[in-house]
Amino acid sequence: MLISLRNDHKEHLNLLTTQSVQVLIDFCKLAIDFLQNGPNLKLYTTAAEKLSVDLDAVQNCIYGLVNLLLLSCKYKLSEADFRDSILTLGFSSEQQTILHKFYESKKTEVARIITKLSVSEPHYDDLEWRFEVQVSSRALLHQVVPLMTLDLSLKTMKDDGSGYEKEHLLLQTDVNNLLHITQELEKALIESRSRHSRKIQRALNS
Amino acid sequence: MKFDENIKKSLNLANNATAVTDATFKGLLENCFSVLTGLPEPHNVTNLYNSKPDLVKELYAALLSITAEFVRSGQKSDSIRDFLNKCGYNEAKISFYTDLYDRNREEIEGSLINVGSHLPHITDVTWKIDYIIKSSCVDASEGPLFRIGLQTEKYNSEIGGKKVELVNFTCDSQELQDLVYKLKDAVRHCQRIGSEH
Repeated sequence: MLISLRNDHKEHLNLLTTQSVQVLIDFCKLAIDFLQNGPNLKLYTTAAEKLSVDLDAVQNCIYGLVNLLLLSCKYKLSEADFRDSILTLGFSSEQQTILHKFYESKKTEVARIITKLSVSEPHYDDLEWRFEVQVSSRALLHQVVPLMTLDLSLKTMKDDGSGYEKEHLLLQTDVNNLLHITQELEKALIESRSRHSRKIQRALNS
Repeated sequence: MKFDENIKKSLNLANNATAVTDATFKGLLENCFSVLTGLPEPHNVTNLYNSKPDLVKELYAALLSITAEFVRSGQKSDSIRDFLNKCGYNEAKISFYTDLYDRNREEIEGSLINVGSHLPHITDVTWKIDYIIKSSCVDASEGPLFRIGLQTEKYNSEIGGKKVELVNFTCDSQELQDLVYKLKDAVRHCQRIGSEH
């Protein structure tokens, strides 16, 4: 599919169409730097002086590139679709190759992050278990109660997307319930690989 | 098994046939074992009081104390027989007591085991499989995504009973595989211990 960009977005990127390949490469590098370290006004001022344009125009170019990257990742564009989408912006074939390389280099990383950003809910992280036998307590001196103590660790994406917040839940269960839970979850796993599930998955992917 | 002299004195009240008739004694014992197993009292206490409510109450308290202590320390009916004998109980009373004791002991142990602080106890699990068709951030389907709810029970002092809470989390296929693998490992461990002894 093709993505259509907003008009102001097109205007912002327009400056780059008239620049040399080397300048475009440098801007792509600046955009990558922006993704990793945030805005760097010093670099943008230098770039603006070299090209003798406004600082704003340079900044808008960088933001435009980043936005282009995010949109392309959102729609998971193939190479052909990506090229067609930027063709309308007036980039030359050589420039398209550069921009595609820029997209390819960051595609997986950005895609991974934006899928996780969507709805943050507690997510399974790890499970530790310990088998215990309760042999005595204040209320009953002699007893033998086998118990399974579980440390379930869950992670939730922080609001600003900067990482995970982990929480540890200490739970216990008896042997019967442990067996029941294990069998039940295994059923879920088997079900997800059943013909019915795979059929739906294929239908959704196509 | 050591008891306070006061309790022994209170137990001795059962030997006072005018204040505590055999029927009263039996009624008290039936109440005592019912309460300790967590059931309501089968006899109305006021009907058991007769002319001496204070003595009956004192005896009832003592019977509750010794019964709980017998179960707590895991006494067999033989040693209980000895103890009650020393309190001057006749054979009929002792047999009636030990009979009830043997019948209810396991039940009372069960309720005593649950006294104390425990971690939330997992009793059940729910699961469902979701596929994400589209979201505000990504225009592509993704899945399967497992939504798992562990049902846990924990004693809650405010409501004076068990409170059921759900622990909800999500995981993808690989993570669920990891979880199942770890749980199976734990189950295998339990089975090995079971078969060794």
